[in-house]
Amino acid sequence: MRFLIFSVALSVLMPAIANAGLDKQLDKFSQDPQWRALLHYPRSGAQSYVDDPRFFLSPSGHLDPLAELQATRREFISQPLRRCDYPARAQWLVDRSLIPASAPVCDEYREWRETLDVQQVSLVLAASYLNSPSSMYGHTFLRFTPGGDRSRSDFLAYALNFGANIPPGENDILYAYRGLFGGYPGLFSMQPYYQKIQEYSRLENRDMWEYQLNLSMAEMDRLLRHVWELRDINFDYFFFDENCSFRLLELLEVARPGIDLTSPFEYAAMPVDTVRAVVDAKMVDEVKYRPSKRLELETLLETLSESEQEWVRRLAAGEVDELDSALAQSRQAQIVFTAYRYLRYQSNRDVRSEEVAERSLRLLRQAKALQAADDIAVTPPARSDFGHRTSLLAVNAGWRDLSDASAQASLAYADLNYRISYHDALDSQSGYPPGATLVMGDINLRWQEREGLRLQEFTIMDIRSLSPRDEFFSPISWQVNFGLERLDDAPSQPLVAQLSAGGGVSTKWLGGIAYAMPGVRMEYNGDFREDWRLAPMVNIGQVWQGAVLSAELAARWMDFSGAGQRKQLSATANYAYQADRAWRLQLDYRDQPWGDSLGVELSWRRFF
Amino acid sequence: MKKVLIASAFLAASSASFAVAPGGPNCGWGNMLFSGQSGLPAHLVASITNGTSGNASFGMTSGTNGCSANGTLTYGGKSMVNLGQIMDEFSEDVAMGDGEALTAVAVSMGIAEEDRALFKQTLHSNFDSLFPAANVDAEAVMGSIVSLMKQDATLSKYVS
Repeated sequence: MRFLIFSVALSVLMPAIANAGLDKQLDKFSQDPQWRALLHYPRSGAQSYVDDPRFFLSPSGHLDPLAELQATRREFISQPLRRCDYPARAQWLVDRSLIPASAPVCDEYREWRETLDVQQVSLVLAASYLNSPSSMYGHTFLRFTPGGDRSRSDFLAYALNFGANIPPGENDILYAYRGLFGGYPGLFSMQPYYQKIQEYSRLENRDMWEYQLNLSMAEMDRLLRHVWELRDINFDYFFFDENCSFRLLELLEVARPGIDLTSPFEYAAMPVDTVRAVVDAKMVDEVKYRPSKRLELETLLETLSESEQEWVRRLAAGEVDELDSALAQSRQAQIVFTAYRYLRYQSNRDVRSEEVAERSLRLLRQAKALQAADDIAVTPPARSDFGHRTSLLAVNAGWRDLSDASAQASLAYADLNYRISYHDALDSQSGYPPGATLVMGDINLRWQEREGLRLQEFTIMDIRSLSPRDEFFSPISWQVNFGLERLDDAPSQPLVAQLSAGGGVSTKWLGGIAYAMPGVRMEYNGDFREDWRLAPMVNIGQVWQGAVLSAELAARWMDFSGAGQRKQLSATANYAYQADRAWRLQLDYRDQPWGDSLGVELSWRRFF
Repeated sequence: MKKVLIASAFLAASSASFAVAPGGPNCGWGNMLFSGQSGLPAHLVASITNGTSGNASFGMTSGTNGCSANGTLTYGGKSMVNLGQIMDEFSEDVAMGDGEALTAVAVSMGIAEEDRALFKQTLHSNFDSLFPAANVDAEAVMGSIVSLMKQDATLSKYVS
């Protein structure tokens, strides 16, 4: 009898005990980093990055990993076919014996996986591209390489891309604004890899770097299961933090449990930094380089003499139909093939013209007849992830001789300079695009004996793109700069707001790049009677870039009409004695309405 | 950090689960109905041109076509490259005798490794007839490839 009562009590209590055990277990599992990764919770944060209720099975799933785990388990048990929509979650629950192992047949998913047949995953970095605001810092996406014969051609691989979904025809300003501050849905999408090659290497002329990942089959399996869960799922897109590169790191964390890639990037994820993090995490086997079509063309042109280049130009322009020359056949082949490539390059972005198409085909036919070969030996530039890091801290010491100024004869100062991103033309050029300056968020605090510590300069954005022109290429060079700046040699040292912009030309000269850029500067100065002023401006200079030594000579002239002219000459040298450390010395002479001055400044620069 | 214009382009190789349904209005998925090696030429000729307008084949500037979900076709579980989208690269490869676009087409057509060199050589020597004019479209090129292969003792088995 006693036994009976005990059994009855036990049978009543058992489920409750079992449930209490399960609840405890679920509670513990819901805090598992891998479960949080599957739901895209930040490492340190209480809300999922996913902005799409369809992704969650519990109404509070984006805030409560436990509720989502409970709801997921219930759903998978009551409707086993739902596992087909969440293969990564289902596997994770099976591995923890939270649901039965017997899986339903998921035809659609299985077909997708069999079609992809992924044997190799690469992280691809498309080099930075100053001429498009969305691509200035570069772009990353994943490449899936199928097994078997399809691995023989890059054209048969797939690309998985995370990007903002922009309505067609959106203008760039609105794009930049909404991209920075939110407003676009971000989605994963998949395309044939050749479309990426066409987009980057051919249309935008950007180099592509493929970092082959050392993922095991099990890790690739986890990755693809999870990718399936993310189809058509919306994450709001933000340019600086929640961007393409950050999302990919999340995927890699799902693929390889236990690895932490995202923590350093919760506030900003610059593509090259994320690639470096993946390399540092020892996830990369081999790195493959694909030069842009433009770089291939430059390489082809370099192999030709001046008279041969003249033939290229005339053939491509259609001034002559055929090469008429006594040159050896192999030289002729090279000339005609280069002309073909040049014509394709020139008409890349144009609307198709029948005439150009016929001329292209004629050149290609002639190149074939001459037995041209397209093995172009491009020398790869330095890898982007080997370049200097993207944030900078600098300490400057300076002295200025104010010969004509009234109050003081000279002044000395010390600066603390913090630059959030990214690179200027004199920083070690290794791994960065030639001729480029791209600075966002540069704050300079200055200490002077009389004034103490003050804001000297706050550059919101400073971009300069120097693209040398020659007989074959005629790009525009341009610059934009805006922010706050203290006129440190003026009597009251006012802080002014300024916006300058200019466009012009540059050319290769004396082993460097010479440039001339007219433009305008708009300046707001509260101390002046006319507080807003607009001045025409001319910048000319010569810059030499190198991995270790760089230098620039520059002259600037601005005419504020009634408020006088400002002229400045400067010479700057940069010595990168380590990849992430440099010395910089600048001398300048200024002739300004309030007097002449001569300055010298030495900086120690540390990238991190 | 790159804009993607096509929302529905989620998964290149999946047929049914995304915005473009099999056999959808602008897309060639319906051609998956064909099966077996003998169906290949018809399948290729019928579907390879989907989404490309006839005269944009040589010197096309962008990689998107009306078949928005993907540029690939599936044949016997394998993905088929869309010739209309890679005509520039393909024609150059044929002129040079080799290249990744040419290899992609060879692999897509199921040509075994040992016959690929012959396939490439055959196309290379017939460049002028494959690309008689700049307004040739992918369908015509594919038709010429198939008839070249039929005339070849070794390659004919892939298109019979």
